[in-house]
This record gives sequence, structure tokens and C-alpha cells, in this order.
Amino acid sequence: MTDDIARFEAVTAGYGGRPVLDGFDLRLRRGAVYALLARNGEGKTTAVRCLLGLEPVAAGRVSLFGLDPWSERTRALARVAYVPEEPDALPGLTAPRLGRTVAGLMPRWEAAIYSAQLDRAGVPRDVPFARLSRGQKAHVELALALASRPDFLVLDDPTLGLDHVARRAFYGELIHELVERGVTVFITSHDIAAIEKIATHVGVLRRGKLALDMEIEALKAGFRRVRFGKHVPMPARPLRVESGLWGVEAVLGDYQPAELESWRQKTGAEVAPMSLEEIFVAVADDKEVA
Amino acid sequence: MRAFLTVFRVTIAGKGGLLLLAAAIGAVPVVVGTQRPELFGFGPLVQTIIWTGILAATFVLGLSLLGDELAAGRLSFFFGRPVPAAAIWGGKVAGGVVVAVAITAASLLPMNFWWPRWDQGPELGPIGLGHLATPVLGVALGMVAGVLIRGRSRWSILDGVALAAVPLLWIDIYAPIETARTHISAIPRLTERQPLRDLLEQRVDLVVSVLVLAAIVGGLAASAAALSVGRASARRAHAAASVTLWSILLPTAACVLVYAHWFLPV
Repeated sequence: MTDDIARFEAVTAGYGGRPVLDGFDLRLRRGAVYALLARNGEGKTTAVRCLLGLEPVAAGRVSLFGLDPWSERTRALARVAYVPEEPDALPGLTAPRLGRTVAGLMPRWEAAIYSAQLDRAGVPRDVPFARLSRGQKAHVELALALASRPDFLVLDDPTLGLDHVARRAFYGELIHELVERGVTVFITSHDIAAIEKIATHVGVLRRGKLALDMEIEALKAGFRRVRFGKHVPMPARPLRVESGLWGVEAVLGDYQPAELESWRQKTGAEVAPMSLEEIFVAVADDKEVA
Repeated sequence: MRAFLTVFRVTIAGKGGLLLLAAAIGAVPVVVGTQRPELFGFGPLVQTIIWTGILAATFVLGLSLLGDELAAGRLSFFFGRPVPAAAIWGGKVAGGVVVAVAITAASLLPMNFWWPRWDQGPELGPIGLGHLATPVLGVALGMVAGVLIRGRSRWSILDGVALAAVPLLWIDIYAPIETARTHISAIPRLTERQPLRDLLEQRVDLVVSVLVLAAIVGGLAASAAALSVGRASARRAHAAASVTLWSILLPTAACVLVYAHWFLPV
């Protein structure tokens, strides 16, 4: 049995003849918390929609639990829960009625999980969904997803538009649940600081393709920011280079300490680790390598 | 079946306001008739007004069943879960038809029971397919219109051309129907020409029934195509609905046109 929960193979997909994903490959392994990062309009949501069978692919293949999510959507989604970018729950229903509605749609619904999630998030029970705050809506969507007891949770930028406190609470809930049950997660987000705390794997989508796909620890070990004086040749090929009055700053995507150590001592260069956000900016920025 | 019932329940929920409105409209002729008994003679006119109101109300109901959710991106609530497109469509159609029939009953029943000269008598009269067809027609056309209006894709060009053709076709179909009706009213009952009268009536009924049936089938099939092909995408749903609707309605109207011109002038 394959260890892949989902797979994209040379996928091309888009809208109105304009491909957003263009030869996109990705494997999501069981147990991973995979964060797909990209700038706006680069195809994160398109990837999610192809994965859930909401959009067909123009070329290539998507599989979810070994099934084609477009032609076998209901079987493929039986163990999947989805939290959309824009809250899509029925606006006239209160949280308890939404729970009862989703209970009729999801085969593994657990009312106790839903109720506990609503309690923890302090969601009022008598207010229709449309009149909840943006943060409360996000919590209801997350509760609906988690109470479905999925094996695979798909979150499409779920904290978009939330303030810092609400985002922190949302990810707090998510981490709590991930620790409890160990579901496989595919998440797209612009909230990279929060992603850094929960992701096990990170992919960066650029120009329709996966520009980077690594385990987060390997990623952080492999990237370094190096500062040194001008006119000093560097022994490794940098991913990006910027120069200013203060000298040169380079980003290394394949940092080998042994290779760089003697050069660092000789030149007095500063080598510093990078946050996920800095790595993302270095990879996703469209500027070519200097 | 569980998913169908869930969608059905959600569709019905929150439509109580429409029923109250229908009951209020239904009560108007009763109240007016009680105060002004001389208006009893206008029963058929009031009846026509009420049926038109029912068609309009059920059309508006149909508009809200698909178009709003499609435009607001809320269909992913169902399509992002393992719910078959058939259950979503079936639940919405069934829920819509139940509410539409309830609107029809709430609008008509007060007048039928309390206005003594409704259609020459206090009874409702034969409840035939015609009574059921109006609310179903309203829901079916409203559902597909919601998709076409809210989809706003390049398929609007096809919709515009087809919609322009509809009144032209209708004028061409209506002319022989009107002529046939004139003939029917000129033929006395219980004479040796009664069979001719019956034949003409049957043919007029057939033409009208086929048109109404095509509109119902076209509307329902187009909304089904919009959901199964379009899923949560308004543009794809529009394309599917447009192609399905017009490929049913226009050829049917053309056939009816030919029939009306060849077989109605007996």
C-alpha cells in the first residue's frame, strides 16, 4: 500500500484557458503536515480545488487516496475535511444547526468533538453563521471539519482576514487537534510564522510549478543568509545575492558547513540561519539570481 | 439518501416567510370580496392574477435555490464533502417544489373556500397536472435563471441570442393557437361538429402542455447539468446550464411551431 495520501503528477489547470498550475508535481505522505506557500495568484487555491474535485485538470493527474477526485469525488472525499478560504457555511443556520446538517453529510461525524470545539472557541449557539465574527466563522468551519474525524484535513488559507489574536487561537486549536489525533494536513497560508510551528513539510509554488519541496528541518538546515564584504569570491553558488553599501548579502539554498567554514574564517563573513518567512521570500520572489 | 434528506431539510428551512407572504396574498381577495360583494363577478380575473403571482413567487424561490449559493461560492459547503451531485440537486429541487406547492396552496385556498363565485362555485375544481405544473415551472425556470444570471460568463451571448428568439417563436406559435381557440368557441357543443371541437381542444392542449413540459424539463435538466458539471464554479455551471437549457428548449419550440402550423388549422 502506498504511503501517499494525495498526489499531483504534471498537473496543468487554470481558468479560461490560462494555466495557473503548469506541470505541478506534489506528493503528500501520510502523517505529514504539508504547507504549500506561494504569492497571491500563483495557484494555491487552484491546487486545493483540483485536490477536492472542485476543478478538473487540463492535463496530468491528481489522485486522492488513490482515486481520481474529479470522477470519483464522493468516494475520494469520504475521509477528507476541508476548511475553505472564504467561510462557505449556510449563512442562516446557527452553529448547532450547522452541526446537525453536516452530521447528515459526513459518515464519521462526532457531535462531542464539535461541541467541545465550539465551547473552546466561545462560539455563541444562538447566532446565525452570517452574523458571527470572522474569527468565530473560522472556528466553526474548523470545528465542522474536525468533528468529521477526517484522515486528511485540507485548509485553504483558513486565517485569511483574521487578526493576530484570532489567528493564534485558530492555530492553537489546530495544533491541539493534530497532537491529539495525528491527521495528515495540507494547508495553504500566508501566515508563515504560524505555519513554521506546525508544518513538517513545506512546498513553495512559483509560476505554476513546485519550486521547493522539503521537510522543514532539512529546509531550515539547508538555508543560510551570508553577509560579507564586497569583491570577495564565494565558494558556493548562492540562490540570491543583494549588494549594498554595507557589503553583500547572499542566500544559500544548499548550505554545507564544512565547505564554507574555512572561507568564513578567512573573510569574516557572517552566516546566520533563516526563518521560514525569509526562506519563502528568497524562493518565491520573482527576481532572478544576481 | 441521508445526504438528500439533509439537503432537502436545509432547503426548506427558512422559507416560512415566503409561506406567510403567500397566505397574506391569498387572504387579500377574501377580505376585499367580503367588503365589496360586487367584485365576486371578477373571479376569473382574480384567479389569473393569483396564478401569475404564484408563478412569480415560485420563480423567485427558484432563483434563490442555486444562483445565490453559486455566486457566493457557498456550494463548496456541499461539494467539499462526500455528497453526490444528484443528492444536492434532488434535495434542492424536492425542497423547492414542496415550498412552491405550499405557496400555491396558501395563495389559492382562502379564495376557494370563502369566495362563493370563484370559477362559478366555491369548490376548488379539478386539481389536475395544470395546478401542479405552475409552481414546478416557476421553480425550474427560477433555478436555471439563477445560474444564468449569476454565472455571468461568455455564455451570456448564447443566452441573449436564445432569449431574443423565444418571443419570436412564441408569436409564431401563439397565432395558430389563437385561431384554433376562435374556431373552438365558434363550434357549438352537443352538435354533429362536437368531435371537431374536441379534436381542436386536444391539439391546443397538446401544444401548450408540450411547451410547459419542455420548459420544466429544460429548467430541471439545466440545473442538474450546472451542478454536476459546474460543481462550485459559477462559470462552468453557467456553460453547462446554457447548453443544456437551449438545446432542449429551442428544438422543442421549433417542433411545436411546425406542429401548430400544420395540425391546428383543421
